[in-house]
Amino acid sequence: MAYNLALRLTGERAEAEDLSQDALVRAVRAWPSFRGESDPGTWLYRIVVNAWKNRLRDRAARRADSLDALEQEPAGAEPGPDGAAERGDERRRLEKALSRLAPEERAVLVLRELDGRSYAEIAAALDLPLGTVKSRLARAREQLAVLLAPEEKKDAA
Amino acid sequence: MPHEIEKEALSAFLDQELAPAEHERIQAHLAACADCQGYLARIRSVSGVVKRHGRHALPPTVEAVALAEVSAAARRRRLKSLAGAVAVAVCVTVAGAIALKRFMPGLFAQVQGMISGAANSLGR
Repeated sequence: MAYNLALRLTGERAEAEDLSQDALVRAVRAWPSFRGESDPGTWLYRIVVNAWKNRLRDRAARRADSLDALEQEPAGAEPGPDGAAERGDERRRLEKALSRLAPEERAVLVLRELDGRSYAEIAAALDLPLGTVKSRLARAREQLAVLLAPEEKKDAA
Repeated sequence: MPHEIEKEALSAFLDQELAPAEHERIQAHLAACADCQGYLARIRSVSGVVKRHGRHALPPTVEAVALAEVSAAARRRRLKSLAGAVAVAVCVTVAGAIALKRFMPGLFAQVQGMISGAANSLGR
């Protein structure tokens, strides 16, 4: 999950790998001073987020063109014999839609949908007020609902 | 079109994150409002798509770095940090646990309790 959070914060695979590695090394070294003030998962997420913020501060934030990279990546689970093409299609559509969201929106989304975190846990992990988690998640879903609407229902404006 | 406020409430309703009174209010509202029902269905569907297709596998390089860091901590022979390092590595990858069990079974047995606790909270 740390990697998935890193991926959605950076929007780009190579950077996400760097970020994950950076965060994991920090986590392993910092573990002795972990006092149980949060659960380990939240603690690890915060390390990822802080490492990400440090990177943004160190250089001009560049929005990597993540579209091709993430769309091309094979499915995380083993592909089944049937429906693989459809899954690939859905996956591509999803990655395209996700690339349109802000990193902060993607972050709340993955912590909720992929890790089932409560709003309070997401707030702690991302260092956000509870209300911001709620509104950001709602906004992410609203945008995805528009972007993932079935093709035939979209009108040419 | 759903009113602006209900979009956020519906999203929180989907996650069962509304206070009981608010939850009941939305539930009652949904019974009477086709627009909100439709919106709830759409975000539920979107939530499902993200769950099904949004996860990426951990790249081998990241896993390798995690395990290397655990090995480095083991070489430093600081058991307290090693236990935590293992817990972190295991939470990152199941392969880490398998490798540890195979190569350092005694140590694996020692940290098993911490691992399961930490792994449960970290999830996969």
